[in-house]
Amino acid sequence: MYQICKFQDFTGTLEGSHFDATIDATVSSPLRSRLTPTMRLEVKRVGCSKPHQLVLSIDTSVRQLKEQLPETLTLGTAPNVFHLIYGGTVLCDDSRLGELALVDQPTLWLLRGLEASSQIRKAAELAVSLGVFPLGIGPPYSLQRNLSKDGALLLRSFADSFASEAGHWRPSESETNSFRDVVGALESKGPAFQAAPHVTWFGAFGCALLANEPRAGAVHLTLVCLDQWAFRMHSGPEAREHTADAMSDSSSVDTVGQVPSAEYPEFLCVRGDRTRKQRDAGELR
Amino acid sequence: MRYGRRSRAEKLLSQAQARKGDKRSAAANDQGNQKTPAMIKAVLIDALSGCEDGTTAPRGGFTDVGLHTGGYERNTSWALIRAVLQALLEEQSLFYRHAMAQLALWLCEASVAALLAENTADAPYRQAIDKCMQMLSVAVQAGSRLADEQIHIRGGDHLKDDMAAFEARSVYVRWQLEQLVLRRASEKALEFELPRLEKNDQPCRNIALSPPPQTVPNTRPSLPDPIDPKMLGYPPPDDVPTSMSLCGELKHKTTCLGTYLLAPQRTAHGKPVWKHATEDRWIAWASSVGKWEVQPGANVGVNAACYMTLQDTTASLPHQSTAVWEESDGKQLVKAPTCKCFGDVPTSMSLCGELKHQTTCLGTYLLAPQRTAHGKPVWKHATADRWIAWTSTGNWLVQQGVDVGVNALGFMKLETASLPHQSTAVWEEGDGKQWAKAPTCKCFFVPEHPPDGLVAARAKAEANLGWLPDPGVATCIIVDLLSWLRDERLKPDVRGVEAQLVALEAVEHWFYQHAPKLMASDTESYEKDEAQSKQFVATVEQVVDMYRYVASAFQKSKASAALLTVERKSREVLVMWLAYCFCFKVSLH
Repeated sequence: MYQICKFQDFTGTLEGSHFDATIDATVSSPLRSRLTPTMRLEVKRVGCSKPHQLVLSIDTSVRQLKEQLPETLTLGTAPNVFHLIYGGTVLCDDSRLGELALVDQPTLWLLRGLEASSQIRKAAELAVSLGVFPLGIGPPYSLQRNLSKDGALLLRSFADSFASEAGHWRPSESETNSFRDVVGALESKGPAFQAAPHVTWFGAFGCALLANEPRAGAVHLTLVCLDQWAFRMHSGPEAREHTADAMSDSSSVDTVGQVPSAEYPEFLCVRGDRTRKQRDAGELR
Repeated sequence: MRYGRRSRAEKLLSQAQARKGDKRSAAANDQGNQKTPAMIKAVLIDALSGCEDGTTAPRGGFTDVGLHTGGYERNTSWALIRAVLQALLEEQSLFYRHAMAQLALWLCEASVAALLAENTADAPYRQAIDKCMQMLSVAVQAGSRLADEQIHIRGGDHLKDDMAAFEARSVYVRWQLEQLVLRRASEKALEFELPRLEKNDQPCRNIALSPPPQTVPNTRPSLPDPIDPKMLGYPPPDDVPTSMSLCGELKHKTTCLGTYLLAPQRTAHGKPVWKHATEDRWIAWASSVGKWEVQPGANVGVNAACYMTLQDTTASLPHQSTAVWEESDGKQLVKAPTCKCFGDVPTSMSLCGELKHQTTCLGTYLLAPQRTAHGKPVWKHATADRWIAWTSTGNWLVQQGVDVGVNALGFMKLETASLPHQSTAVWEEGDGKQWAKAPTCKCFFVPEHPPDGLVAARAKAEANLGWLPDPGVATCIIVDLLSWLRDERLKPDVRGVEAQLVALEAVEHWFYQHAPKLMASDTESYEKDEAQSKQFVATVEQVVDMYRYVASAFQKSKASAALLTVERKSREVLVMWLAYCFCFKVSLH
């Protein structure tokens, strides 16, 4: 750990420290004043797999560290716009590395907040209007309408963030493609049976019908059913209220049967005469 | 057939939804009408099989998501979108869970970004913060469930960091929310900035507190901008000294001599008041006689009873006056011509530096309140017979005690008109023949050893509240309490909220302290004797009346906003109830 060179007498001073000690043995000024403890660390940007490694004096402040980061990591943003996070703490710009309880070769995460673009604002609105989160404010959500359009819009925005340079999560290419196919299924207006199945919503009954074509000539019908529910007490406008939320990751899939492929498009497309009210009721698409 | 099948499916569903009452049940193997996935499956099976009527009974096991008594329809829209995602990403179930956790965190980040970008009004802002925190909670729960699996199952160097990054992002979102709350709180706090009470108080802005003096030595930031007296009204404009020293020769009232400190929370007839550092002596204005007086605290602002007076209508403050102080000898006022009041003079000074001859002059000098010299204060060396005093020649000398105020003989001299510690002139020392400059010699003001925080706080409390009469609640009886309440100093229309609070709390204390007597089997003397009983009841009534009168006055004051109304009202009701119980118990006997 220590690069003490020939000055063995200083090992006692540094023992227990996790700093690399580099000593310039050729300089003749007092040894102690030339001992410059440094530390090795790496900085990663979320969404970027390649870390940036540095060796800095422990007297370096976080602000100075931020100023030394390359543009590939900071994406050209000013040091006051992004922050460094380590071990559950956002590092204060005035702190010096030696004052922070850092482990050997720590990894600091470089983060900056999302820009409030119109897409981001829309996503934030949809997160509330779709009832994505079981919020304790206001009455519980009781949406049973077909919200696939808004849902697809939200998920599309999320999928777009994978490719963004400033994005915060980057799944593998195959995962990204799978996710986009599913979003395509939610967006599809008619039976296509290509990359994704066709979805028919029965929100008022807690299920959705998936139609796909595993082999030519027959459409396979599968019902995706909400299965497990979790009781939740909830503050309401006048008193506490009770509701139940569908538990995540606990849907069940039930096979319904098959229908000839030629009959399936017509079976769904003729439904244009249905009233909006019925459509919104989520009974049939 | 195609249309028939579609029509049948639709028709079958319509038929099912038309079933009401008992027919909604599927108990007797009927199809019924339930809001379950099994119901849809039954209808679709019928439709696929070409059935004209709903004959397939739905299987049980699924929860009805329809409206039930006392509840809400289940929220199925987003849950179904999620379920479809899960079904379609079946082969990558861990990716699905990971994506959902990442989606939750991303939405949380988006909500925070939107919140930071807009200037929301108060109430929606608080709700928005709550929403973001709940979103973050959901995201973190989903993320933490995945954390271990992520490392052990999903693997891959480039993916291992996903959960570490997830944690960092969660921390960052939380930090952003905390910063936002802090910023809003700081902005809101500015609306309630308190006025400064003393010249050296710090402004409340930026949460700069104003602790009692000396509680936080050497850590205060630079002094605030000069106070605008108009803004404060009272306390003090700059010409009001924070301390005054009454010095001179007195025959009778020597305890009046010494240093008086400004009492920032108290005034008398619109003028500031100074309290003696150690004694119950106050310099205050008595408007009835138009004099500055040295009084006991109980008389300040109440009457003109005093130990000493200074009658000078030309000077606004005692230290500016050239009039002669008078002291009381018990019968009449006697002039004290050497007595004088000085504003903001140091109580101790240190003379330091290099001297060749008069080294005995070096050291600490303490203010000598018993003496003045030519109208200026005098400081005496802590251990030697050396005095710093003003002479008739118009300079400061270090003299022997016998020479002070008598002649201009001395060991050292300082030619300046200002006080020694404020002067930039050079001290000179005598070598027996002539004066020689001592350029390194200087006089410093050395404040006394600062008291610790508690002592300083008590001193401040004493200055603020010490003038109030002590109720002695612990031992007094109800009659004493009543006579105490009648004290002039406690009249709510005369005194401020300090007096009102003391009166209220003393009465409450008395009743709460004596409440156990209501349950005691012993009979008090006032309960046995009819005359005493009547007097007791009358006294209780008067105490309660006065208490409610003070409470009403306090309630109207601005200071009442500092206390919870419900607490004050509860205390008041409890006092009245206890008073009623006391009267009731007396009447039993």
